[in-house]
Amino acid sequence: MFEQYLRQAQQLITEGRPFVVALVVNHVSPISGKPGDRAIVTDDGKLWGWVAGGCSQVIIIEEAMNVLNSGSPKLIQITPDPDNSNSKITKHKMTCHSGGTLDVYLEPVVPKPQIVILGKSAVAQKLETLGKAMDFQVLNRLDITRLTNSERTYIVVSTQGDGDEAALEQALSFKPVYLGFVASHKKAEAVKAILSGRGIPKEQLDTIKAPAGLDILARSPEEIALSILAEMVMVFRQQKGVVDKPVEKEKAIDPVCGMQVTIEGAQHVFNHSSIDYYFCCAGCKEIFSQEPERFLANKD
Amino acid sequence: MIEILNEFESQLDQGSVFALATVINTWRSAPRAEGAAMIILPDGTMFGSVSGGCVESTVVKEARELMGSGGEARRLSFGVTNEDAWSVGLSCGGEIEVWLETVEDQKVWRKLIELVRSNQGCVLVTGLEQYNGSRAIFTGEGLDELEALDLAEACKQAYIQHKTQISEGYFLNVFPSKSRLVIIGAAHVTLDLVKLAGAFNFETIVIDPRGIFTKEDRFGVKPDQIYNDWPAEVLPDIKLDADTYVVVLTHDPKIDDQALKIVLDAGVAYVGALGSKKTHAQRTMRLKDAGVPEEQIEQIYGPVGLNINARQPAEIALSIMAQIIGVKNQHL
Repeated sequence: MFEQYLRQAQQLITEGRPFVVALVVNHVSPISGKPGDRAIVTDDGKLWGWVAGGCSQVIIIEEAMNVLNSGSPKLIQITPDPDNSNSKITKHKMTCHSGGTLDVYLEPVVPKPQIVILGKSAVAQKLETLGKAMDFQVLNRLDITRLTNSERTYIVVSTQGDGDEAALEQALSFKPVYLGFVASHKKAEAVKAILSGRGIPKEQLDTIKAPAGLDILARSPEEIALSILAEMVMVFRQQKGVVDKPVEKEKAIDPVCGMQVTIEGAQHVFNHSSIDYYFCCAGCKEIFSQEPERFLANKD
Repeated sequence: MIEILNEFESQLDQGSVFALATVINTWRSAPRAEGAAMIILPDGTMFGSVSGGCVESTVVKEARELMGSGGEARRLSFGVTNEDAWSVGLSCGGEIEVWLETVEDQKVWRKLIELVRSNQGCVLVTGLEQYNGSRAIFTGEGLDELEALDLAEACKQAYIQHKTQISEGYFLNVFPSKSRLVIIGAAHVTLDLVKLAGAFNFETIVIDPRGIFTKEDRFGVKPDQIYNDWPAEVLPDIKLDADTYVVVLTHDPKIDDQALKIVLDAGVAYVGALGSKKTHAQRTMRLKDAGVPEEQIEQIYGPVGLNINARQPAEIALSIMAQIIGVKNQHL
């Protein structure tokens, strides 16, 4: 199970897909999830592995999407009697019958930037060496066509007068989240003017960071490369919302336990008097099916 | 050149005449940078390399010819597109030029070795063809033998930019002095920081009294010095000057504060301390209570590193290195 989890995580990292690791860190019996139980939640809302029973899973998946969105880890608690008044932990109501409490730590794993360096200048060479040493994914400039996800794409143009405009035009076509141009202000303005003359809109040209890199008074090629890497980390860590904000899906209330159930793709549905009722789990559905009127009467 | 300095010195000591080949110019993806050098002995033995194997055999052949004939120093060119006399080339597609000369025991070489050993930055100046291989050393105070002002300025610029290069017929080989980076605490950030600092030519010294962290096999790139001891025991024996940069990374006030009190008083170039704003506020209070002057406390960069929202150890190390380079460059 654990090896499977590691393999799954490795696979997703290789594919460059964002995911969340959900790890049970504490529990109060009776509940099925135990400390150390873990699962992977992918950006399409699928959960692989085991953390808890059905009702808790729904909450965990929702929170996992929030975590992917914010980019920050989060500790949540699922408990029968949530009190959010004085706590750093986000608490959710445990609606299952087991009645225990579960603490789950959710950690986002966001794909690392893919860096493409255009140009063969000394800065370009140092950037490649340093980037690799820092465990960034540095792609060969010939691999630029393999870039598919603009959110992960970081391009540095360091052509030093040897085809600056063509390189920038090519880079812009990928709509990279970061595009740095190793050049002075003056030089950059001149090149932008040429590109503007070729019909490239101003808002695209404004995305070019020139001179590339944070201002650390960099002089040598190594130092310029360092300032650019630091800037890329900053952009990477400022990036929020690796997944689109999940669309609010229509919810129904489980008439037995009172929990919210997503209607789309719901597994436990019971039709009574031509109306569909949705349940968090088979147990609730079973109880309801035996005596529907009892729960419907309560509701009114 | 620096990589073969020991061998170079031992050849001088033996009083033998030998050849020195130095990369003076590169284009495109040359395997070794300007300044890379190799020694060739009369019997063909070589130390160091100028191309990582592509053209060494030709260089050795030329060198033996030069030593045999007692001819003048000369420039050799190698490249894939070169259709001249050279049948060998660089498979990587780069081009290089190599300066080949014979070496005898002269004052200028001894001076160079002494400067490098004592960590004093300098520029070794070689006059190429039109200057007949003449030599001088620029140390910042002026040229020893050549007194051309333009050349002194070119040396200064080359030194500031750490750029070994040809300028107006002279080859300027830069030997930068190493700054010192003292790191208190040897946990994860330190491993990445040592690696980075090495790439920026810092001498690295790691101090951590917690034994488990100072095991050398944890380091991908080993620090120059590593001490499994308290900062108060080690720091008094380390040069803490305007070329020294210190970061405290243990998260443990017992260790960090002890180091901070010493280095703040020593007047080092940079002091950074790991921890959140809140942690740093607490640290400030503790240091104040301990009687550390406020103007010293204000010099601490805390939270340490450029604010780039660094999360992982490697990113934190990067933010620290970038900050240190920024501070260092202010002083140039």
